[in-house]
Amino acid sequence: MTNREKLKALLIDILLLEDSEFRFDLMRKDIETWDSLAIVAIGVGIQETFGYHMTPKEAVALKGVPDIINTLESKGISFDE
Amino acid sequence: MNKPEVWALEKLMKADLGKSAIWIRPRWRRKVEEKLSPPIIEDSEEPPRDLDTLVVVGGGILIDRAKVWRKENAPATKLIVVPSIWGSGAENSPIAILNVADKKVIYMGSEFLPDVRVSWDELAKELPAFLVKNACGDVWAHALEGFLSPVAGDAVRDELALVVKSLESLPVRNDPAWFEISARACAGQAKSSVGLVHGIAHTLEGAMKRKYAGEYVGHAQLCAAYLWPVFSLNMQLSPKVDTLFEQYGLDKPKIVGVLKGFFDGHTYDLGLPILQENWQSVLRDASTRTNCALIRPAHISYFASRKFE
Repeated sequence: MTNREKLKALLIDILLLEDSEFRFDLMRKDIETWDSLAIVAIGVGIQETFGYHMTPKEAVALKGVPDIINTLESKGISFDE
Repeated sequence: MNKPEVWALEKLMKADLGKSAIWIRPRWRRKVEEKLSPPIIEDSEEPPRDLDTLVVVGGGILIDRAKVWRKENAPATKLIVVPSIWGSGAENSPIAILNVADKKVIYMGSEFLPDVRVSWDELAKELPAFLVKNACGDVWAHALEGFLSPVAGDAVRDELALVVKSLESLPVRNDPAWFEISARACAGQAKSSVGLVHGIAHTLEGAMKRKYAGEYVGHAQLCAAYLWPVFSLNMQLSPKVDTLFEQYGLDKPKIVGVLKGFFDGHTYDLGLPILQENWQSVLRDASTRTNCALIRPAHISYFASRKFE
């Protein structure tokens, strides 16, 4: 499974989305279920899936899926697959 | 926020309560009549609104009812609570939770905090074993889920680690020491969060009441029964459990042994089909979403296959 596939599966589960609803350019404001508790779950899920412990500041600052990818890429986790 | 003043039973017996009444579960009538003189009202009735003092003797459900009753009917009435069992933390908390039409309604605010909490250790000695076991399981669930919570700060985690260490050496039995440790566990988890054990209990309580009209399965019973299966899943999903246990010097084999002792196959089996039917609701529950490990749709199979046994 590629990192893009792992991230997609993770966010579909956390945000309770249908497969067809997911896009890599999704923004937080467009998803009702991306609330404050989802921020906690995304932090936990990123750590379990990619081994990176997001700080609370980083998790709260995420505005969408592209921000998650940028944050992880800045820590050396590649999404160029 | 202030905490209720703590009185010994002797102080309550001697206190001038003005116009007062004692609201009780019927099980405590004899005991209460031996020690206290104000008129008794059983929990099937409502207290009069012109009291100076209302004394409540019972568990979390009745204490929470009294907190809401006072707010809505008699805000000037002094509220003295005498918890008959530990676990809920209702006696020490500005939160009240009522079951209304099988839904949980949450009230929060300093006006819900009791004025006085009375320690009546003798009540604990009369509790039946199954209630004791469930109440102890509830305390463990508060302490562990709060300790492992992803939103627990360092200070809260330090305090809850001390609570867990105390629990390691406190046997599951009728012991008044559980009242104080329960209060500390509740205070700690209120500053962090709880997790999947509570997500399951919150979802199943109402659903099981609708399905099994003749068999009441309460919050503490569900927390106790599902504590070990959930904890076992958490250990599989996240290295965080082992890491934090090691970091705080907690005795994992001992804890695992205690948690296994809370497992109750009968309650688990009653709940399992309802858990499967309501898994989406469990996933959406606020407690589940702050579990120490990420809980995903596929994880229902873990419970169905009983991999924790």
